[in-house]
Amino acid sequence: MRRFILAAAAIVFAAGAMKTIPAPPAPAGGLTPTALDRLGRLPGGLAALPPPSFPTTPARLAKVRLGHDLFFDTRLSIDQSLSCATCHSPQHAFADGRRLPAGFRGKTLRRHSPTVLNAAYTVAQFWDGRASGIEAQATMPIMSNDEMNMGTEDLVVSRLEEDARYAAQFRQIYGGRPNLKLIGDAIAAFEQTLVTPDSPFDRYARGERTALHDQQKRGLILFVGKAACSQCHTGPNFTDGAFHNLGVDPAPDAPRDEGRYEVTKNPADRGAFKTPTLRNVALTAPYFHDGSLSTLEEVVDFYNRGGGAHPGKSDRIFQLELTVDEKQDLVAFLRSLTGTLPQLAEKQ
Amino acid sequence: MIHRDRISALFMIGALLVASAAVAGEVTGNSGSDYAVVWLEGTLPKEIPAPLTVAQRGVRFTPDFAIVVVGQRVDFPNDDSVAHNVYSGSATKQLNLGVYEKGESRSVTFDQAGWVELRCWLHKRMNADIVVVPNRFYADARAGTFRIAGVPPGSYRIVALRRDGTRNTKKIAVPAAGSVAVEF
Repeated sequence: MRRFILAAAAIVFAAGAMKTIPAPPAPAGGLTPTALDRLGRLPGGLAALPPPSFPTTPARLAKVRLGHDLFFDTRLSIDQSLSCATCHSPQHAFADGRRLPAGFRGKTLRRHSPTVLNAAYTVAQFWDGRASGIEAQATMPIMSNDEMNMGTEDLVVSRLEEDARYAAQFRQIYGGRPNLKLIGDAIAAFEQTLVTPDSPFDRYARGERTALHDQQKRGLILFVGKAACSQCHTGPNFTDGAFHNLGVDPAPDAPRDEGRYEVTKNPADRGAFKTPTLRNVALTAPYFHDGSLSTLEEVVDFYNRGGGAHPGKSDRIFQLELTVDEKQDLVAFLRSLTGTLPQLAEKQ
Repeated sequence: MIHRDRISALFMIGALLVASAAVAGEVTGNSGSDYAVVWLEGTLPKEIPAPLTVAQRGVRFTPDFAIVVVGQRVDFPNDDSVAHNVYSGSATKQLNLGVYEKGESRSVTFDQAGWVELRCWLHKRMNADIVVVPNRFYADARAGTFRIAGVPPGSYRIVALRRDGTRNTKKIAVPAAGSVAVEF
């Protein structure tokens, strides 16, 4: 009898270890669009874009106007063919719509041109983060041999001073002659106006419950849950400002690109690129640092299959097992991140 | 585990120095590649260890294997900026902690010995095993060897549990000092 009881206990115990755990019904507390509406703050660290912090004084506006003029001025390239706006065009949501940009004399550059919209909200600039802040970033393409190729600061200054209006603007705003640092400061002041704080997502985040429809809300819930996008695309600008390797396989003809490693020389950074903002992502195709994906659907498919096969892929990338409907929900949410393009830029 | 062993060892030495009546032996042995956990059964002190933490981090459970004692609490804090869930349909413990966010935590007290497989309802790659044992006289045997220290002298059953839930039991006598070796 005792043996029988022990045997019975062993069977119960073995049953407890069986590997087929039935998936439960939707767990209590699982988010639904209705439950999402009632939350005090959004999950995944997501939030509305804070209002721009700069003052709207006449002095500030003069600086923004100067930055605007510099941004669109091809005289800042050696052969007067390129401006900042060539690769960051208002017609393409301040990106260029190309897979890879055409630089000096049409040279194809290594990395996709990212949008300048909302760049002011992120410290790390360029796909490899080699500049901190938009002030430092703004003048680097002016000097780059592959881009605007001005060569020396003296040449930049003399180019600008040939125009009496620029000389007067620098004198009035900065009390002196132009230099690269001041040019960066003025362009950055303009770029701080290139923000889009009124997307449907922002209006929803500020409490307007009907600003997103149910499919977009389901997409948001996937974004911060099953699809785990908010591991990296978090915060009001949808980026952690950090660098990750997605395992993107380089095109056969692509030049070598080690990403963040080229800046840090840390082997862990090999193949890692900056998490880009997702704001206005529906307007800034193609995608990824090499522009290799053409549509948001392709991007979602890429993540759904667990990223690419290139070595060094981050552990944050894994197969998501999204259904067809879920993938569509996620794309619908990404389309809710499109804001109104800034008015100042639209005049151009 | 190392910490716990150190505390046990210190306790043993202290006990031997202060009062020679409080004696304890240890059980060591080879478990091969088959077994995950061994524990003793018999008349043993009932002590419930402090709560254990199994974090949700990087869309994984950390640690993804843990041994707890019946009555011990396990905390499941979410350290990710992604929502997670914890559920189990195992016979030992059925649970579903809902979906919750970074900075939140849910807890479970395991009240029955056995194997509990945990999953996240949202992320299929997240899984963890928790083995619930009757008392604190247990050891992780996954490496093929084990050691249970600080055992009061006496006669016990030693139980070795395989991952598939089957087990093997032997009778042992633990001396007042020194080791008893067991082969599974």
